[in-house]
Amino acid sequence: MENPKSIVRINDRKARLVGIPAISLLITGMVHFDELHLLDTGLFKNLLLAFANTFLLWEGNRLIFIYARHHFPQYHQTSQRIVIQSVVSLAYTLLVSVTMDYWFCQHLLHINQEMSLLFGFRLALIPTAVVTLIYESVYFFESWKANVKRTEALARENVQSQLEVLKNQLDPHFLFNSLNTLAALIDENTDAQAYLERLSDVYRYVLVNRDKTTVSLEEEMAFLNAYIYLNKTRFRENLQVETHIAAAAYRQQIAPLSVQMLVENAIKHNVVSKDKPLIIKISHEEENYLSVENNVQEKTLFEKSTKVGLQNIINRYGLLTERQVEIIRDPAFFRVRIPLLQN
Amino acid sequence: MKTLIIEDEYPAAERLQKLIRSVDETIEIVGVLESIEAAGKWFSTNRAPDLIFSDIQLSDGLSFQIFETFSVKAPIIFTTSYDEYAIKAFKVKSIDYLLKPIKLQELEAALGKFREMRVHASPVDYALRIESLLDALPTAGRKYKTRFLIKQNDQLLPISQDEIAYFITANEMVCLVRKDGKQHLADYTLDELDKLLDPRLFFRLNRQLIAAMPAIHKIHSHFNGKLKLDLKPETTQEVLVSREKAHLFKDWMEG
Repeated sequence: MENPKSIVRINDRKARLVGIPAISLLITGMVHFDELHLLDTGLFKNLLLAFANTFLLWEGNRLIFIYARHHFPQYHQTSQRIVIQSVVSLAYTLLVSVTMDYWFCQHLLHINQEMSLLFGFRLALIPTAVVTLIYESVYFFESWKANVKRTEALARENVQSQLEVLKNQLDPHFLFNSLNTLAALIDENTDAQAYLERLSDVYRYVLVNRDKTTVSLEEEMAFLNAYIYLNKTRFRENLQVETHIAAAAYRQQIAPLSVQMLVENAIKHNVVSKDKPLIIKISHEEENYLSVENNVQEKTLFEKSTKVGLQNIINRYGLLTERQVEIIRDPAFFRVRIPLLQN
Repeated sequence: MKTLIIEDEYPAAERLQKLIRSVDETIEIVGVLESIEAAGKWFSTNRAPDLIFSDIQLSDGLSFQIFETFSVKAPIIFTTSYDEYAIKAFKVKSIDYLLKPIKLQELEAALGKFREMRVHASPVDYALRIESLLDALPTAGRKYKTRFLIKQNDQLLPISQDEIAYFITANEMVCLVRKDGKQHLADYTLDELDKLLDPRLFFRLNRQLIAAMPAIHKIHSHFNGKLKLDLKPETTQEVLVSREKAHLFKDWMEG
């Protein structure tokens, strides 16, 4: 993000070049209206005085404005900034007008005009307030514009990154056409054909169901069987999966890819070998839960688990049901219980 | 049994032929076509086969365009790798399809189903079924329906949109009335037609009528801001356009 302190740049040169003489003229005209027709040195002196006053007040208050912006750049500091800026501005305006009236005019120039108390201050108050308000609103508008631009840029970037994600995704058309070509190439090898069919089933299921909130347990288990087939081709009898699910349970709903993710985690985190076969038990349990359990034989050299998979299941179920996903850790086994949902 | 394969990838076509032969040696493959263009040539010189296997995405477009041009009187089994929209439409219209990579079991099941269906379905039914698939597909390569297939006894009568005067509901049936006054039952509701027809050529006058522009013979002002129309060919009941629709109707007439 842009450093907010660097924003305090005001493009007000023209405003100052025109505004300061204009206000000087206006004030002189208003205060010395009766003497205007004389056009004498007195009037000229008054004009110069008004100019000096306006110049000092404008420039000084402008600096106060800039410093206030600099020290309180954040939007949430606005009220704090405005209070402090107003107090300092008022004090400065008072100081300048009093100095000009009593010290400069009366002591140095010895102009002894009949003046009410703090006449210069009262006179300066309204133009100062108006000019400060203009600064405030122009500045507000500019930062609002900058903000809108930034939001737009952010949105563009967001779309761009989404586009990149999409680009990096393998086109499913290409994937399945390639698998079909591969099927033609491997021809008579029935094991390879069977593997390929399951592989394409697994990918198709992921593509079709990843956006669904729930699927039937039957669909998920058919997919899981294809997934297990692929893994058993790799691990053979070193991976054993047992399922105990009552026929009636197959009609219940489950979050898609949830059982598969648990099986995938079990294979990822544990040793699968001839001496230490990994045994995964998937069973329908009391209170309508589906339990996925495996014997724990953690890999020693294993990249630290990110816990994304399990957390993802917990989050998804948090949106689906009040019932909790239960995680049971034991030195000997690891078990996750996920609630089955009524159709 | 004569079978045609429309497929633009050689290994895929070869594998399909091999699989078909392994299911039933008596199936004769009469051609393997790789594009819409090749299919166009084939269909204009050959009689429809008994069965067609057709890929969806061909090198020069979607195979639906072929069936758009030729009302093919043969059952089609589509082969597709991943066309979500098409698959949805296949399911709705119960049109057979095979997912790639094609599995032997699924091919067997599809051929079995085809043989069963063949007993009581006529070629005209197949053509109508594909026609309704094309109506349901948003990606079928056409914007609006330009042609209707009307079943007359065992014949299929194609009617172009230029021949149509209006569609009118009577006794809960929708009747297609041609400019020459001939009438046919249309197998659509007016709401369906409203979506299918080109809105520049057809206008939904009221709950009973959708008319083509040349059928509007005279327009009279009716009380209460309504319009009363004379259509050609004449209707038995008077045709009114509501006040709300009147200005839309005038805009449409003026183009």
